[in-house]
Amino acid sequence: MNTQRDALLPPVVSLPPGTGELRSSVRAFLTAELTAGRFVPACDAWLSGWDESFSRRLAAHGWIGMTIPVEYGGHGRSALDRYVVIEELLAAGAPVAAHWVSDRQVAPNLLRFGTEELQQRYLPAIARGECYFAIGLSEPEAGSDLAAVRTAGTRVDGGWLVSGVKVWTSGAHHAHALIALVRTSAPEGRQRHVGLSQLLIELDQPGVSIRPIVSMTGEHHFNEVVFGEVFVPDAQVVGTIGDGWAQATSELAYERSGPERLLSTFALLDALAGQLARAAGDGADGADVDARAAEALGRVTSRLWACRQMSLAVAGALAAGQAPEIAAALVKDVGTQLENEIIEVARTLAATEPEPGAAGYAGLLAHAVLHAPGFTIRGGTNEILRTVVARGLGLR
Amino acid sequence: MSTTDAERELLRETVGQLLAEHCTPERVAAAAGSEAGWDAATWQVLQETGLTLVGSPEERGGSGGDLSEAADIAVAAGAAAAPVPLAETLAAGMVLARAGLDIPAGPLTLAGAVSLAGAGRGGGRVLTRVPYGRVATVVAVGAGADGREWLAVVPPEQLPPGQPRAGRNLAGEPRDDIELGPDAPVREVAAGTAEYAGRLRRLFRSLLIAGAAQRALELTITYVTEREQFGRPLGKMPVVQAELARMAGEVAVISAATQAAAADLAGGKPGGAGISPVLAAKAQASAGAGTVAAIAHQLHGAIGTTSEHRLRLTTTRLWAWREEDGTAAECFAALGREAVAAAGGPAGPGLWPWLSRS
Repeated sequence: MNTQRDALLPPVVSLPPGTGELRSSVRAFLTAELTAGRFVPACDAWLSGWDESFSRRLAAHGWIGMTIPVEYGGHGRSALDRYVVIEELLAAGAPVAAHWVSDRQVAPNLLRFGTEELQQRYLPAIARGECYFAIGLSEPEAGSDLAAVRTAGTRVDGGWLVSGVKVWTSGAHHAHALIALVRTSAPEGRQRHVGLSQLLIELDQPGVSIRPIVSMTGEHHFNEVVFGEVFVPDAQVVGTIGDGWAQATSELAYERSGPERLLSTFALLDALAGQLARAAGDGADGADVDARAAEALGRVTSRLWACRQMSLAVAGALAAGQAPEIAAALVKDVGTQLENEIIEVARTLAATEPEPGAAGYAGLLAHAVLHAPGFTIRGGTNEILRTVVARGLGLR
Repeated sequence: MSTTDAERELLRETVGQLLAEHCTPERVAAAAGSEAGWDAATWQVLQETGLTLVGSPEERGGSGGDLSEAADIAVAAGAAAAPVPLAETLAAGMVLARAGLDIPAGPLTLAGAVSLAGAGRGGGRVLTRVPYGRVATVVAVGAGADGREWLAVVPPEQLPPGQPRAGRNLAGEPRDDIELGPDAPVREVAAGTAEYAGRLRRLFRSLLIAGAAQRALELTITYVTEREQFGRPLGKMPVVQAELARMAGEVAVISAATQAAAADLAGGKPGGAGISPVLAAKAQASAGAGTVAAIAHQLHGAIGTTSEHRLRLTTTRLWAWREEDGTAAECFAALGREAVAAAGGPAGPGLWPWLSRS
């Protein structure tokens, strides 16, 4: 029984003292950006806030590609340093969508599995905030069941011909490339993870067509990307043919446990707290705040604080080379539910009806409500992640 | 001197084994049913190992070691449902040491916040629901109206006849009202001692909850793995798995929060313009305790509600401890006011800086 308890959560992590200065620098940058009106804090901005000039300004400060080694144009910094920068950007609701996928998963993927050639071609551009990727995983018939992908790679001289459809692929209409999970050989009976490969496919070439999928918000982030016999040379194979499943899933613990699973609605929470402060007369000790509001705010902020400690614990374990699968799944499950709960609190406490596109609180709230269903679906639906937890606890 | 991860793991294992050996369900239940309300034999064993005063300096009569190790012991005590004031003694020892006082032998316990008017003026003050007040030396810290702080140490043998007025919490643990006699000696202590005592009480109660929550999860996993219905273990049913995952989520939140609060206090950073980790930890521990207990009972089925089954020893503690040293509602309200103060006005640091401070 002791092993199960120990495996539930890695030790909590205190951020190293040096991160304080880094955090202050990022805050100063964000203050300047806000003052100059270069962005407006938004919820879910890591999905919906595509701003290429913001990405380049961020990169100029050395805050994209932080963990990419210096020899590949990165900054050779630690994962915890990167964590600090990311959470500051997310808490501020900054528009980080353009470089998000490149920075969060493509760069680590290429560092682990890419050839020298691929690393040299893409990593410096990613670190400059100039190279944008979409995620090539989901398909119309393969969502939670990712191993059911049907996009097929047929062997030809010097490479592969790829045909199939990838879906969701947020930002594909702006992105330069994606890394697609492709079936390159038949599965072995019931072993469907066998025969999958990762191919890096540039999107601006014949045979690739991109069709928008418009969200219920009216926004265009998602796409359907159709590959019609697209030639992918051997040089664009990531890692080893046939190892695609292991490669693609190796980064899952990072994706599931990051601050983006907690902070998608922080801009709204911040706005709510500001409203409550003004209603209470901006008193020094918050004594005049409405009791119901105080309790609700205390509830979500204490839980957010606790979830952040969980996320940091996982980040620390990942940095130490461990694979805390249960904890990462729990961060995502608990954190994304909290993102929704924050909307509930913001909705019920403020005397404002949501209005899409409106300035201020009404627009912020509307945007959050309409984006909310996605939080617990993307990155592994919470239901599927609970099966991961159950397996980790020895039940399956 | 900080301890390595390996040393801490060894301590956890040692304490866990010792408590498992002595805190059998029979003995835990018997303690709750007895007049003394505790298991003196278990206490004796623990005291002899020195585990009861980890975190207090040896110069004061403690066992040395730091708050992190004391925290680990408290979690183990919660998990084992140890019917002794182990966590209470750890906390009280640290308060006495902080006040520059020697730590007396035997079980100790901290009373809750009390107003003490000054030397020789302890008379008439009632310390309410003191954990194990009837068997432990009570340490009470309080401030007078003038802001000066006072500390009283009341061994059980010095209580006047008729004292204490015995009470119990939901788990059958002693929660006794003690009236300080008119000549109860109090001595002045440095400003901040009362706040430190309150914070330690709250932290250690949170750690006890974390241990109990972890135990509830372990018991439930074992039960659904072993209990078969419809020809297979309950744990194979997807709905059971989903509920267990929900339970695990709450246990993880409580564990992370309480661990982080202990680390923050152990790190000795000065309190600042940021969220109070101990308050946030107690808030989440109190809020999550009920969910953990409810799922544990639901998955155990009827057998888990019996007196005979050991589950109640853990769930009654979750229900009792969530109300002590800060209910969820009290903690949420205090935090919410802090959050608004942080978010408002030109002097406020902002909500995110407040929340990310630790």
